Amino acid sequence: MLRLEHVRKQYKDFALDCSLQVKEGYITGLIGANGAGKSTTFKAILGLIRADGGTVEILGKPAEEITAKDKERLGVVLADSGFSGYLTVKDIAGVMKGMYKGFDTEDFKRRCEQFSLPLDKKVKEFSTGMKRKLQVLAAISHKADLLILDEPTAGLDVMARDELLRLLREYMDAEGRAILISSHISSDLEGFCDDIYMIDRGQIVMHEETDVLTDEYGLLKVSEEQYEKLDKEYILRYRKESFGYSVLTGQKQFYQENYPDIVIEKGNIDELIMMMIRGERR
Amino acid sequence: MKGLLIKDIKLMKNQKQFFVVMILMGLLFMFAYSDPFFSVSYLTIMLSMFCITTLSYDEFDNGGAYLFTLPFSRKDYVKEKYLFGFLLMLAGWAAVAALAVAACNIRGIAYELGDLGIVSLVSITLSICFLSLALPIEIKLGVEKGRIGLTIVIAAFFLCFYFLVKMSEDRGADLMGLADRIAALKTPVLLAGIFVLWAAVAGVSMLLSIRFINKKEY
Repeated sequence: MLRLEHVRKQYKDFALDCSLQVKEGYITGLIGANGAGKSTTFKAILGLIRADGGTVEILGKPAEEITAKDKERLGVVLADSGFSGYLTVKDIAGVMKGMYKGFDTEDFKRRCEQFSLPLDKKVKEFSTGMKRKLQVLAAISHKADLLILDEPTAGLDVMARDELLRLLREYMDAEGRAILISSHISSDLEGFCDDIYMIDRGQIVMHEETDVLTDEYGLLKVSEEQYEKLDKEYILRYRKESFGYSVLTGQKQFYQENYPDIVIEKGNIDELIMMMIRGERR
Repeated sequence: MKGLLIKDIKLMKNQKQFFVVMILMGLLFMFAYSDPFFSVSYLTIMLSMFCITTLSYDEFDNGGAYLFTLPFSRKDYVKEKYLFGFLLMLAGWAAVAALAVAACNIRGIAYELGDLGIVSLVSITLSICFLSLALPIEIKLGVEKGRIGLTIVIAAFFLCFYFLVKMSEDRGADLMGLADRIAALKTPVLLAGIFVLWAAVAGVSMLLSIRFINKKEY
C-alpha cells in the first residue's frame, strides 16, 4: 500500500533518510520523540514537501503520479494542520460530500454527535482533543483504503483515545485496507499495531513486528561482573546504571536459557524504545 | 473543484458583516448619490476582493497542509480560486447593475444603457486586473507578506503608469489621440479586444499562480 525508499530531506539542522513499508491488512506504527522526523516523513509521503531524494510509492503508484481520484482512497490526519478554523462541522460535511464519492454525510454527523462534537460551532473554537477527533472521523468517513495518521491520539483523554482506536480497529475489518499511524507515546500504539518502526533523528533505527517486540525483546539487568561474562552476540544496546548495566536484547530466550540467574524484564515498548534511542550500541 | 467551491461559499458566511456594510454603502450610493451607476464599479470590485480573503481562511492555523491532502491537485486549487473570484465578480456585477437600473427608474433619473455598459466594462476590467495581480502575489508570498507585496506592486504599477504618461507627453506622443482612436472602434471590435485582454491578463496570472503554488512547501 505504501513504500518509502530512502526518502531524504535536508533542513539546516535536521536530515531525514527514511525507508518504510505499510502492507495491506497491516496497521503500521511510526514511533519517535518530538522532532524525530515523524511529521516530515508524513509530509513527504503526502507531497506537502519535496523530498531531496528517494522514492515514495502509494497505492502501487509513484507519489508524483497520484491523481485527485487516487487521493479519495486516502484518509489523512496531520499533527499540525486541519480544516480551516472558520468552518463548522456541518460546513465540513458539505465540503467532504462535494469531494469524496464514498462520503456518508449522515454517518459522519452521527459519529460527530457521538463524540460530542457540536455541529454548528466553528472548528477554531474546538479544543485540541476535539479537533483531533474531528480529523479522525473525517479520515474514516469516505471509505478510504489507506489511512495516514500523524499523531491522531495527541491531546486526547484515555477514554476518547480508546474510543478512537476502537473505531480504527472497526475500520480495519474491511478487506484491502491499511493504516500508517504515528505517536510520540508508544504505549498508545502497543497492542494496536502489527509492526512498528522507530525513528530517531531522521533515521529509522528499528523495525519489528509488535509480537516479536513483546515476545523476544527483553531488558537484562546485570551487575558489572555479570556483564563481563555475558555473551554479547545478541545485545542490541546497553546503558550504564547504578547497579551495573541495563542491556537490550532481541533474543530474550537465549539469555533466559543460558544465564538463569540474570534478571530479565519483559519491558514495555516505551522502555525498549528508550534503550534503542538512548542506549549505546555494542 | 465542486468541494472547493462549496468550501469558499461556506467561508463567505464569516464575512456577513462585511457584506452587510458593503451592501448598505452600495444602496446609499445608489439612492443618495447623483449617479447610481457609481455603485456598480464600487461593489463589483469589492466583491471580487473577497476571493483573496478566502486564501487567508485557507491558510489560517497552517490549514494549507491539510487542505492539500484532500482529493484535488494544486493546479485545481488555483483554477478554483480564479473561477470563484470571477463568479463572485459576475454575480455581484449582475445584481448591482440590475439594482442600479431599478434605482434610476425609481428616482426618475434619465440614463443611457451604453453608460452602464461602459461602467460595467471598466469595473470588470479593473476587478480582473486586481485579481490577476493579487492572486499570484498572495500565493507566492502567503497572505501576511502578500498584503505588503500587493501594496508595493500596485504602487509601482501606478508609478510606472504615471511616468509612462509623463514621458509620452514630454516626447510629444499623443496618448489622448490613442484613446480617441480606441473609442472610435466599432463596438464588436472593442468588445472582442477587451475580452482578449481579460483572457490574456487572467491566463498569464493563472500560469504564474500555478508555478508559485507548485513550488510551495507546507
